[in-house]
Amino acid sequence: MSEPVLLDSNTHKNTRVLGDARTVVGPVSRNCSVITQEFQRLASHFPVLLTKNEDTGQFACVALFGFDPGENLFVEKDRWQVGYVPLNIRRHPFMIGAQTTPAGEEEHVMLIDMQSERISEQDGEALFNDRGFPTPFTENMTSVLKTLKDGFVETQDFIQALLEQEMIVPANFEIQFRNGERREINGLYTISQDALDALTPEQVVAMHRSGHLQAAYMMIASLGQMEQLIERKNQRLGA
Amino acid sequence: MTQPITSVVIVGGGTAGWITAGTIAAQHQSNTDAGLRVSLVESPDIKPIGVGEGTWPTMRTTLRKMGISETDFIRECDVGFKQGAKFAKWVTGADDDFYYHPLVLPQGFMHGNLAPYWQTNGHDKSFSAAVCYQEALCENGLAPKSIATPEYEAVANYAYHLNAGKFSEFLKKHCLEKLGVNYTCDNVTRVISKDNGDIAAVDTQASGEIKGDLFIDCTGFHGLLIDKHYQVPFIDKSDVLFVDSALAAQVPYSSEDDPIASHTISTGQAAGWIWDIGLQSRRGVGHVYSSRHTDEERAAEALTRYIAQSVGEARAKELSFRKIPIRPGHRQVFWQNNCVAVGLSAGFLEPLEASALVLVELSAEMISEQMPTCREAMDTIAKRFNQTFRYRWDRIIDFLKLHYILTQRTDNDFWIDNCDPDTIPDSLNELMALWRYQHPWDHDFTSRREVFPAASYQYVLYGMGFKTESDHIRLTPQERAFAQRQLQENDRITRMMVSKLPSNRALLNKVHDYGFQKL
Ligand SMILES: Cc1cc2nc3c(=O)[nH]c(=O)nc-3n(C[C@H](O)[C@H](O)[C@H](O)COP(=O)(O)OP(=O)(O)OC[C@H]3O[C@@H](n4cnc5c(N)ncnc54)[C@H](O)[C@@H]3O)c2cc1C
Repeated sequence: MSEPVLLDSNTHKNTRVLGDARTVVGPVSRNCSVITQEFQRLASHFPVLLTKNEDTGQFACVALFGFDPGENLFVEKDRWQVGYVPLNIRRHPFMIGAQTTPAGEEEHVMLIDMQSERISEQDGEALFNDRGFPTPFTENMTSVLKTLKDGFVETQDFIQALLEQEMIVPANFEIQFRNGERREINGLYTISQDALDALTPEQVVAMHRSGHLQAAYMMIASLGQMEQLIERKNQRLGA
Repeated sequence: MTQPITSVVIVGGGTAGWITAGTIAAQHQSNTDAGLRVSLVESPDIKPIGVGEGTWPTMRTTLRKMGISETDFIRECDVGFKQGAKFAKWVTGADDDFYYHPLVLPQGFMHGNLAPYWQTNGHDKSFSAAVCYQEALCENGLAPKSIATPEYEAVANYAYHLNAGKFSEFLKKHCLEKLGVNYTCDNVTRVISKDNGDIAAVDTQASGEIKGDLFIDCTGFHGLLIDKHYQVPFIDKSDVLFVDSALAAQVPYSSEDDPIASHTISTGQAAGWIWDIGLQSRRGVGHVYSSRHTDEERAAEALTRYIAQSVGEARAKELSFRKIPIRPGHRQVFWQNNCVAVGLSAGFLEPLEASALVLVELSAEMISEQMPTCREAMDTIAKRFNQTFRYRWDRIIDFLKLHYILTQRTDNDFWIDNCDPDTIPDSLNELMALWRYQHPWDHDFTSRREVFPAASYQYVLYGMGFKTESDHIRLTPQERAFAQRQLQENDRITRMMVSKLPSNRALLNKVHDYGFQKL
């Protein structure tokens, strides 16, 4: 297990990060957590759905990349081949951590995974300049992490609102690939179109103001990407 | 002119009273103006009995129908999951003597009977381990589901262990805040009758008369309406089931991460047995015994010895025991005039298969579903209710007795007397005569909504080493193949579940941290 460490201009003055946002690191997964702010861009490439965190049973919004565990139909030759890569992937090898200040307050800090394949001492993007200040690369990463941190909070609000209005429904797919193989996909959820249609004008206004209405429609619209995903799988199967 | 039923009065606020109130109020929309009026009166002086911690899987439906969140229930009533019962020392009394009565049916039970094949071919495993994966889950301390399983849904069928006192309080709050049940805290002092013998109202010490069209007696052993008022005879069953006394204790865990058993452990003793029920914050342990075969002092010693095995002698000796007398039996009828008895007022049998609360749930359900619309319709429904529940009590008595009659224990007259044919009901004797030659199956039980399915009888019979004579059993090749497939399937599912499910305590902790989703 890689143990991310606190990013620090002294410790990491010689550390560099190889590759770019499209470089694939670590084990490939069939989905990743996403935030409502990126729904619009995600929706033109991936199905965006809800799924449960196995460990907590809590819902999260995810973009779907494949059908089997570890299957990512957007990755080829260790690179993402798609117009938009979700922020939660682009952040690698950085992540957010929380620590308690001496005053007892919780603050967010930037961590780096030094075991990541993207870490180098020779090549790649430097993290700090000679004077110990963050490079534009690091600053950009800081802002990605900040967007994600705030985004996960907003996304949780969105999910909570959906749960309260009982708008989430299971999305079970029965897929047949062109080679004849049949697959049942369970454990995914989406938003009920019927529940959306049944909203009162007051609820519609409230959801519009909170941005949840747009996010909800984006999510439903993104289901159209399911066909593209099946097509990608068919191509892989050579069918 | 007909007399419509618009108001139901429940006397008693133990678990029976609140389950009945909640079930009726939820179905009949008592929180709306048009709904049936449901009122409950309980005494401020007489506390509910406060025991009764093991339930049936039916409780999940009962709670869901009342609109209760499973997460709230688990968090507030100190709940643990229950996946059946482990009977230890019931056959030989040796240390390695045990069998399971799990809640999951044998593999493929809806399509065929595995008992004949198991008996002739499958003897490397106990019956329950061969046909059902739940024993393995219990033996490994695993939960019946994961945190990602929606509320009330199961991976492996389950019931609950709960804190009875907290449960009544929890139900009361829900009934009053959500379901529109009217509440009076006062002593009922008198019954006011009509000319036809019906109850017109109950009078209270300080709150005046409470009128109603249907009265439900949930006053526990007091039997205020069914016994004191109507004097409906009590059918004593102590000649069949000898247990007549209980000593109950609450045993703390030694540490916060002690495993919590996900099944009730019931351990045979010289003159009775000990129940052991794992809640989140403590265990509920108690000894039920026959006072004709032992005395309180010896029973208390046995209980202390049992508890000492897990917490040490010093701590076991510090615990205080509560004595509760039990009178095994039930009313001759449960519904008399416009009054129905539900809960301990209707009767009680030793808690060997947690059959008390399930009878409360079934009674509440039938009263609610068949709620007479007017007084004129009531007598027919009362008759049907009495027939249904008499049948259920009789079947439960048979099934409880079954646990005793196959014992090989001879260390105390308690066990020897239990095997005396004169103490065995004819109905059970008849079934035993049949099962000597044929394995129990569905057609042995004819009633819709049988309390115990044929599977339960199989688990107990073959768990206790009963032999159905196999000389005349002829299995077709198809039946053999079916049985082989089911046993293999059970092996596969057992391995998968044991590797996937969290420990019982781990899941309970997660319910506290995150809760279950509704879907
Ligand atoms: C030792 C033991 C172990 C048990 N184990 C199990 C088990 O594992 N599983 C299971 O399902 N069941 C078990 N039971 C049975 C279970 O405890 C009861 O079925 C259940 O608690 C229901 O009790 P109740 O509500 O009928 O009575 P109680 O809890 O006694 O409630 C009686 C109510 O009536 C009220 N009342 C009485 N007189 C008056 C009056 N004059 N005016 C107003 N109100 C009055 C009281 O205030 C109280 O609210 C066990 C019982 C015993 C004794």
